[in-house]
Amino acid sequence: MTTHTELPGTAGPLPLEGIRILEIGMVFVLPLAITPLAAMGADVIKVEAQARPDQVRSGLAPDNILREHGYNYGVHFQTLNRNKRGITIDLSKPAGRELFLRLVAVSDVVAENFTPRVLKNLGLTYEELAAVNPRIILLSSSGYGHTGPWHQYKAYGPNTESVDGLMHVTGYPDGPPIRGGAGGLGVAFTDVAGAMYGTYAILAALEQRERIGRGQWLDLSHYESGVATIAETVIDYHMNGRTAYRRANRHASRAPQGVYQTTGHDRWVALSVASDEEFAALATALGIPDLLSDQRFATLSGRHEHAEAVDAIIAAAVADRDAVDVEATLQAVGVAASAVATPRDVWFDAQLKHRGFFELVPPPDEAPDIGPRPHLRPAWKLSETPSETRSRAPRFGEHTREVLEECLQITEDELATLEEAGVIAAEPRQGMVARGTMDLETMLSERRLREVDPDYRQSIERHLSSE
Amino acid sequence: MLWPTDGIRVVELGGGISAAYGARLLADFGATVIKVERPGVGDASRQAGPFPDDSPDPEASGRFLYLNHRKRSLTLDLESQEGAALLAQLLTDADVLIENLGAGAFDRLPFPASLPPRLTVCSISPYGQDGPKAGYAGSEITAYASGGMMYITGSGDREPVKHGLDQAAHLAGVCASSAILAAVMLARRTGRGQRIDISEQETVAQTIFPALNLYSHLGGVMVRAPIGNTSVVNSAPMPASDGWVMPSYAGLGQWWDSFAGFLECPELLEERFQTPDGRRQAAEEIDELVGPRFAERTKADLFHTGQAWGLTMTAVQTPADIANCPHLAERGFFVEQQHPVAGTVTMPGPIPLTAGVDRGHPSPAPLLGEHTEAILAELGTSAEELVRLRNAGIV
Repeated sequence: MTTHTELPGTAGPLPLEGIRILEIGMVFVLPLAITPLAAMGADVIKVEAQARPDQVRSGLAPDNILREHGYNYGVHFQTLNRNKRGITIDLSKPAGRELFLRLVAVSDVVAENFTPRVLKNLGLTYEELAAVNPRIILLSSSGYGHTGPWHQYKAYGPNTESVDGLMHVTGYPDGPPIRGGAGGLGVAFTDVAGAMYGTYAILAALEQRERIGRGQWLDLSHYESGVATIAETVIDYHMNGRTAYRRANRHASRAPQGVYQTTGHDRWVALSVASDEEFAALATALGIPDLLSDQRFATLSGRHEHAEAVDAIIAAAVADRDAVDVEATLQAVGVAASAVATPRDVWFDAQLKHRGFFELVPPPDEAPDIGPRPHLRPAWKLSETPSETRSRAPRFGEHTREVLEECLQITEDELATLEEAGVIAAEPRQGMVARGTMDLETMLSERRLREVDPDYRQSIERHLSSE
Repeated sequence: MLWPTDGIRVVELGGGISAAYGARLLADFGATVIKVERPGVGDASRQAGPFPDDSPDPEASGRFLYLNHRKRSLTLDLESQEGAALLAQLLTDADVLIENLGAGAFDRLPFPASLPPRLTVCSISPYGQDGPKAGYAGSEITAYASGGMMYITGSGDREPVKHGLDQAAHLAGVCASSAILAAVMLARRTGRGQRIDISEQETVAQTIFPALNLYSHLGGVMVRAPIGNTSVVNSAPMPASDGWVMPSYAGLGQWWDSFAGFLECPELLEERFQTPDGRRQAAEEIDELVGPRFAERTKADLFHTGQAWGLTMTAVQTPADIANCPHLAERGFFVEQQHPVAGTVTMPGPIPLTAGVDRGHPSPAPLLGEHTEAILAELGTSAEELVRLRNAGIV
């Protein structure tokens, strides 16, 4: 890993070269669905408007510093919108709609996450897009989908995770249902899952277009993509009338499985045993022969029945040990074990570093103080397709002129008219992007943060830059 | 009509959840998938439930049926020279191989020749194919632990927990299907396939990008939130008379007057509750006001009446609620598989809803080795040879 200050060029042919995607979406799910397609070479044009900038633009300011035009430097925005171009079109104006449809005529995909009624109000339904370009593919990404009795229901992130059954099965048996990741603040599992189904659906529709010569409308419901990951429980309900319940870290077949506290503040090791042989290996490696002499634990069903007793013995055996040391000890004998990594630990994980899961993205020219900063690359590695960031997330309206000239051969006069009419704009309207910093002190006092590391910037850069 | 992945030929090794789900997504859209299973034993999922009437039967596992409909099953002993040779023969006509045998395991199979250059090979493993932990054993819980998700899930005063089922393995399968299609598209242009390497640790780590960004750009290390602190203002679930509801505060805060009207709780309109700061400071008081009103109503009433008021209110649905959901029924989300052993099995169909794909009428998941004879005949294996291979335990 080098602390490159310039972005790499395209090293080899990219799978989606020549595919143009218009993204009218904000926040997490829809932009995230398009992120991998941008990484794989699609020309992604993100469409915002003066009155409708992506709300994530200002989400998290680098180093908690409010900068002028801070909406160009939001951290999550950078994660989600690398390799995309950014333009502005006010779709609610007739001239804006017309301009957008001209782009549709020369594009392959439109991806949007409006609530269902908005697309109709804007006059941008699939039928209206297909009338301009029958090869266009429209991805509509919404909470419940565009049909069915609930399609107008509202769904913010917490709602999706509660409706799709995931919360019901997550948490302690004696506690409330739980959202993944600090009540959803640090994580967006259903957002990521919904996004990945969207990515796949677009690729599949492009494939089908090769075969049938026309596009289609993809009606993606995050409710459905969440249910797909708990399908077994629905099948069990149909087969046996059973309704699955929360079981913390226990597993239906593997035993023991759980987390056990080790030395250090709030440090844990997770482990999971699949067979009698692994159980014997664990007992020997951790030096707890009692586990083997006790006949109650000799079989898988016995270990399930006496799970609390097994857990107590393992907990006592690792309480005075280091989590990373226990992980290594158990992995050396083939037992699945891992220290429970904090978000900080993830950045310093040797395995992820070796695999190049992180990259340093150089700062924008006009804000060099931000410095090269680390971001995740897509969650798959292709041997012949580079995944390095080719361009930073776009500034608001950065490519409006470039895109309209390149794709529509638009003239100076037309540009001036569009600007005058407020169809295109150089800046978001005042007050449309929230500005603010994170109150880390309050988060600490409310115990939402474990700690605040003052040396985060240097230590992470040192780590990623070292051989 | 031709489906999205019609004509794409996929061979699946390993099974379990991740590779089988990735291959199922390709099959959902029309790809031909040959699932290679161990003679006599089959995919490990066959041993996992749920089973009809709780009676274990490797041909009737609910998990297996869900992950493997629209596929064909071929039994093959890959450890044997002859088995590997048959696999190599199968691959000469394939576009894609997807496997989760474990890091490096595929490369150690006793292949007689090199792989066809056009083939895309997708490997899913706990930590990826290279690196200091490539050889480590993995499971769902270690993916959650090493990917950073687990540390921030659960209650601050209790142990970290993972999502309830096998979400990481499913998500790895979804990622695989996308990466595979992209590679297949490129191979059509260049004539060359490539290796795809998916790590379940990375699959999980990507889902906590907000927490990772909070550290890398501000130094904050997120932790499990104290659950005693649950409240409407924190978007925590609230007890209804028969379960739980999720009042998403990001929405409720915007429509506070409607929230007050919906709960018939005029106290919420008082001056001190009118600003975000005021509400945050009075979080406990708000819960004392609204808690009893939630508790006396059913979750379905709160959900649907709340939505009628335009509020971001949902039920925490159970599998039973989902199985009986009229919305999913109208969208035809659940499909029925007519299986010769398990009977009629109801399960989620393809995602998303689109005219390009028929959600219903999937062919059932295959019996163990159901298509062995047909597939080997297609490869030119004679009936006598098949008998010999069976007797030798190779198929």
